[in-house]
Amino acid sequence: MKHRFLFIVVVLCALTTAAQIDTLQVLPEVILSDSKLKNHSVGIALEKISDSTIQRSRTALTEVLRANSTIYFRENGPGGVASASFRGTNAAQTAVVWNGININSQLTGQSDFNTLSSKNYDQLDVRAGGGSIIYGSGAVGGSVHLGNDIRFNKGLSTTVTAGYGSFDTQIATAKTQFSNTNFYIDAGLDYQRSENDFDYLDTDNQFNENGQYDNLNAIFNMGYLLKNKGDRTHLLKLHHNTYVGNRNFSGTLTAPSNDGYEDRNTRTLAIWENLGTRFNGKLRAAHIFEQFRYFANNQTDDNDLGKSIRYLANYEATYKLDRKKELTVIGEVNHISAAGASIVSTTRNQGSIVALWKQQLTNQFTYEIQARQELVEGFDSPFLLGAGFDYAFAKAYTLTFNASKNYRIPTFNDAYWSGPGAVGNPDLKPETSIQAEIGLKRTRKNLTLGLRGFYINTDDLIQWQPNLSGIWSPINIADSEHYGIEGALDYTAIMGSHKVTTTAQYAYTQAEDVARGKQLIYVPAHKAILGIAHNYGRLSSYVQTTFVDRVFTTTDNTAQVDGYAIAHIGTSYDILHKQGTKLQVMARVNNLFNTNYQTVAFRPNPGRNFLLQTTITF
Amino acid sequence: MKHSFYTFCIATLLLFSCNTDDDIFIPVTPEVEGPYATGFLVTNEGPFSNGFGTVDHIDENLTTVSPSIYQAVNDDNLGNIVQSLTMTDDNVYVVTNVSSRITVVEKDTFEEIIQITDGLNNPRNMVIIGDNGYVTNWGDPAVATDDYVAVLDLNTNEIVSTIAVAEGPEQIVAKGDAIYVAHKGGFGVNNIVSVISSEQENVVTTIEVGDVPNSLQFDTAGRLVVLASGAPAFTGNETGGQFTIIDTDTNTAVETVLFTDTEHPSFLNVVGDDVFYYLGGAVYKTTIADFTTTSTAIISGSFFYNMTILSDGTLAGCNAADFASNGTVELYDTTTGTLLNTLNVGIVPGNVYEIN
Repeated sequence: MKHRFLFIVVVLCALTTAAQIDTLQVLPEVILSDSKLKNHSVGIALEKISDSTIQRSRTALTEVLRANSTIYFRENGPGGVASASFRGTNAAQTAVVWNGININSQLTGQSDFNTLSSKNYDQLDVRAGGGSIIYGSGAVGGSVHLGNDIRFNKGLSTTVTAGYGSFDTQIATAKTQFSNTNFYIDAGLDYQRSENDFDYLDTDNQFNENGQYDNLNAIFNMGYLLKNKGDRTHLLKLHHNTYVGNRNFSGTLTAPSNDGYEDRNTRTLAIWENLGTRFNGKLRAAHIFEQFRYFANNQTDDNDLGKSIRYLANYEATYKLDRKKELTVIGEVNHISAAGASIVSTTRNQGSIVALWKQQLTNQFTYEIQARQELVEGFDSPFLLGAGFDYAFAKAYTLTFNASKNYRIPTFNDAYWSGPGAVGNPDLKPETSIQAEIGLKRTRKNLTLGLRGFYINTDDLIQWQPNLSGIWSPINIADSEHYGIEGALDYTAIMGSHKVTTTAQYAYTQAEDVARGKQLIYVPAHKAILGIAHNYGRLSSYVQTTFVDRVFTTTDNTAQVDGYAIAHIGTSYDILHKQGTKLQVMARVNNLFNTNYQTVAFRPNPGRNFLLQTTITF
Repeated sequence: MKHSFYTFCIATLLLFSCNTDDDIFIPVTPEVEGPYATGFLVTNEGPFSNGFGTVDHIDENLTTVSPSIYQAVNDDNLGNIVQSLTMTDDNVYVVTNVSSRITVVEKDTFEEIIQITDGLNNPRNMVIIGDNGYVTNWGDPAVATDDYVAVLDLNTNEIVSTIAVAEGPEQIVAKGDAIYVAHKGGFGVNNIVSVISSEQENVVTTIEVGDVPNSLQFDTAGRLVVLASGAPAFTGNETGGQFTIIDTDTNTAVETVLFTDTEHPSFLNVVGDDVFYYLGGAVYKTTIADFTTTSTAIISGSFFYNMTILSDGTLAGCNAADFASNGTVELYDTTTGTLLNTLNVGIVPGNVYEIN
């Protein structure tokens, strides 16, 4: 039911935004934590990853997205550091947005996708394209969105999953939620641990030494309806997320390792929403804490610590001039402090103002203009401007266009690092990009086809290089140019009691360093995924295949990691399926053909391996 | 690659013909030299934390590079971060840091004899006295008290004993039975030279020099010349470089010259009465007798990860470029300061060694 509703929401948003405003009730059935995502992505492609897809994989977000999107991951093996790249941009140009807030590390500017859980979120969306105006620094190539919903009148329900897989991998997930007419609460926990000691294929007894990991992700969400009368609704919401991760970093084929790493992250967000037919106001306050400890030798307690604390306050006002015109203004202030063994203790204040103007000109044509100006202590921040339109020029066809300027400010590490052999550079400029994309979408009955072309030109890329004294330091050195094509197909065929769903995506990416004329490292020219799922009554089966082209590992393109194609299969059966109660068993085979492949040079991935899961909902 | 395969084929053919000669008992032993009997070797560290380092060969005329010769000959790799190499008459000992390994190869063919790993922990550099090699080891870089010099028996290729030393032993040289170790300090800062008796296998004394001593050599009079870079700014206690001459009879510093607090020189080369060093992208030349920090640069605008003056007076500068692609060895005439040639080598070239 939920999927169908969301599917409808997505399609309606893309096609007839005005109709949505027309029929907008003050209090929607599902209250999205980040309504901006769907409302202000004009001309941009959004891909939703479904619940059932998430359930099939192990916990880490890396594993889910690698097999189900064209995002390219540079992953140091399972459990290791994993960063995401959209359209050939780098890890710090990919934003992770939690309930509407950009949660990329203030220290590194990136998110490690192996420290993000995919479980217990209600929404997982992939947004390819520039998003800095709405989501701030780093949303250049694209963004990944995790969201928790609030729903009233749903009663009490609980879901528990337990799983066991190869390499002594254990998974446990539980979530319980309760709601009545004016109160909503949920709490979820998910835990994963693995010895992760898989054999390296085609070697003499080498295996993934020192790769153990365990992590615990806890969520807590609450909603309280203060007032819901006439044309005015007042709603209080609270979202919280704690992540505790412990892992060792495995060695490579050529180098052993005894490193250890601990992540401690918490995020808390309180929102007061004041909703009406013409005016919506949303006041947000958030506290975001990140801390890591790096152990050069995990047999000792000696470690390097780094942490940052961020306070955020934000007010978003939306005024609907009429049914077809809407103005949103967002003001935000951030106070961030960072400290650590190798970083000068520093605070940074930043403020920003965002204006979004959206208008439906005709029933077929909607456009939006977006602008952002940020003020960051110590840095000149560029004025950002973007525009997009959706044009439903024929039945079932939509033409989309978006162009924007985006940016990434230097991180705390970039600016204030001070450690052995390396020093930050407080005089850096932000990286900026100018980008545009054009897309064509055909949505009809059971078939959705999408084709997009993009172009990105980035300036002043920050790279760490040794200076003349041999000390590594970041400078604004490189410019890069990216272009490519993305295609997507979703097809559902229903034949009697059989339902077959096919998802195919393909991305062609050229990303060159302008000065060198060479492809950027770790950018595959081709990535494709194909997933086919079959459902018959209580039985479901699927196959997921991924193809990734070779990537260069040196900037002169003289060394590479070979491309690979892998397939995963799985099946699930509902032993019990009654109103409100469900018992499901699942089995999955990862890397079915036992392919020996690497995602990062000299870091092998596991061969064929297995995962069994049982889920009970009551 | 093609070239080294070619030389490999030639080498194989020569060996084959040698065997044939033996078979038919012709009482002539032809002087068969392997392809790497003369010329130069370049150590390339390789990409950090993944991949492997390599050794390239450069011919006598300094014109032709045979890349990755160990890999070409042995179909294997040297491991992660090739730090240095040391030669005897017959063998080459390649020290690989992160993989904690010494690979012993035949000098003129680069065919592997053995890989040594037992007894090594973060090995850096090696010096040879008689039948023993002495290898500096950092141990765990985070632990200041586990650093040592490993004693390698060159006949058995085993580490036979260890000599505990202070934090961060790096370059190592020998004179007679005495071994001198410069303690850069690993990831930290140290400021001593340890004097070790190879016979007693213990530290005889330590001599204070400047912070972060990065290179040391003997001058023509047999004195030990040490160049320290000084502590870098990030330590919060920045100190300038220091040039020190040590009398090896008394093991005391007899002369000290200080650089300014923000000058961090490196890559000392003592050539006869002259001294060359590198500072801030430029190469300076001065003399042992009258060392000055204010001479005019003979080469500037260079970007060296290391530099060595070869026996014919040519300066070989290792340029590691962006540390993520193949580097170059730049050859300069030290009299005129002109660039003679640039040779393409492997990733992060660390040093050039003359085969002798």
